Amino acid sequence: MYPQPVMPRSWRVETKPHKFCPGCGHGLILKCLGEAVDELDIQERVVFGCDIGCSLLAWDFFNLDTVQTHHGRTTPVMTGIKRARPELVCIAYMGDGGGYAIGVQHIVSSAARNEKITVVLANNTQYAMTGGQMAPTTLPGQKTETSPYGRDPEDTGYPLLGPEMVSAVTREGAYVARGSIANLRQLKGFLKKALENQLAGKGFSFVEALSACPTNWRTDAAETWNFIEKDLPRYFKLGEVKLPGAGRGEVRANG
Amino acid sequence: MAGRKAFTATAGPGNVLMQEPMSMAEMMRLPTVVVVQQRGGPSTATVIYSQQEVTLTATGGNGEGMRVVYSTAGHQDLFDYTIKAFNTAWKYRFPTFVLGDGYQAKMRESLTIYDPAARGIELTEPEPFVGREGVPSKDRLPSQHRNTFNLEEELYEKVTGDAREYEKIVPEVAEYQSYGIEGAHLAVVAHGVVFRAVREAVEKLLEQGLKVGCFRPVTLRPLPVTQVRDLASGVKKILVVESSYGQLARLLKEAASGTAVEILTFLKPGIGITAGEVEAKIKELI
Repeated sequence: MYPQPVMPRSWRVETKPHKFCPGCGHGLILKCLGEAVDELDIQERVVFGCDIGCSLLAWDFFNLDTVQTHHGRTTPVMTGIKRARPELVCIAYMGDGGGYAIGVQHIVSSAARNEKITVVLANNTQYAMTGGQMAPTTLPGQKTETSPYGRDPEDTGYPLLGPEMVSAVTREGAYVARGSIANLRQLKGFLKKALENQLAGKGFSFVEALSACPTNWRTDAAETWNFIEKDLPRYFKLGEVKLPGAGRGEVRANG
Repeated sequence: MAGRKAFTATAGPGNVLMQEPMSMAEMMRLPTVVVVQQRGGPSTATVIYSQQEVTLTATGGNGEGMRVVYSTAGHQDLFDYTIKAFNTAWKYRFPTFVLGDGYQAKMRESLTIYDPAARGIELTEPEPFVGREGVPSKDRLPSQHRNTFNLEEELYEKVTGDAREYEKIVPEVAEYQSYGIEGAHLAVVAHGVVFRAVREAVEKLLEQGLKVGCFRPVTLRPLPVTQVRDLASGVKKILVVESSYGQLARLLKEAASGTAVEILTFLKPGIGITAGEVEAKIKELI
């Protein structure tokens, strides 16, 4: 037997190996999230909501109470549970399709209302579960199933900058950041701060995590890493966009 | 899901949008209550008088329409059936609807507001689906809710299991009212506020010695199928009166399928129906 990697306590061992594709970023984001939950010792208080798309494969991922919702509706479902039971810690987990397309109104409204929930959004620049179609986050020139010649911003616009949008509609008390699976230490730090912000009851917390999808990007390991580490941060700046009580935080490149 | 009773109220295109969460609630067996005051449709149209959301409310969403729909005829009904809807939803865990129409939302009439306990009505206690006591995996299993399946067979088992439960509760849940149907040649069927006009017309004609009765399904879903079939076997003709273009008639025809009764309709989509109009129509047919 080879030694197995240590799993966070809040992971559900019997559902591992997980259901995501090899090379997928979801497992890494959820590892950071699981470790943050462990360190804050909030396992019995967390309700984890997952969306439609690849994120729904996390429905039995954790040893946490979990609700899978309709596409884009994780934010309002978690908002409802949080309002009914403020002592619970509600995490809405979704992809860029759920959060920035079909569910964008919920992100905007709950951010504007400063709902005391934590939204974690995996951005892999396309709709992965359905075979890699263009999403609001697809980079200019990036080829997908529905932009075979590359995304043309003239026709379909530029990538949506989620944390910047959320930052614009939130006020004091919100925590907004963008991390990446290319820097797990930083990403975990952001997720932990986002949860702490909810625990402190200060306001809306939002973390976008840049994620990889080699299956649909059709990239090998080196190309995948190059895209996630070098190409994506050129559009999607990494760092904390907003800190509770301090207005706009320092935006640091690559942690 | 968090263990608190909740409801929403909507109409028209809002009811269309609500079908998304309600079809999910149907599959997840969540206790939900929706109060709908029907609009004239399709879509935004008018807001005053209509019974055009019957099909949508009874069978909307992608699913099998396993839900309970109470059609109310006035303010007392709205009060009584809202209490009942919460109990039904939490007891059976199928989405429950209180279906009135725009007219009921705008009219004034007296009603008795009471404490349910004073009338011996026990309110079903809510319970949380998530966030129960204890640490998941240590003290209890995590509570994980989903409506996503890997195999068609998994879905088949889930849906057929729910369907069996739904069919089992029909006799407990289905409700109706009837008046003068014993020995009647013609029965007039209507629901909601339209039934009040029908009943007035039928009472008047009974006094004149005509062999006519009336029947009101209170639950449009599930329909009181046994009583509808008894009715269809006992009369020669059924006249369906509704402020829509045959939405109730369609449900009724399905329930009465195989009986010899002739089903006629008096349809006025989007507008009100008076007792005088129903009376004239009955006289035409008898």
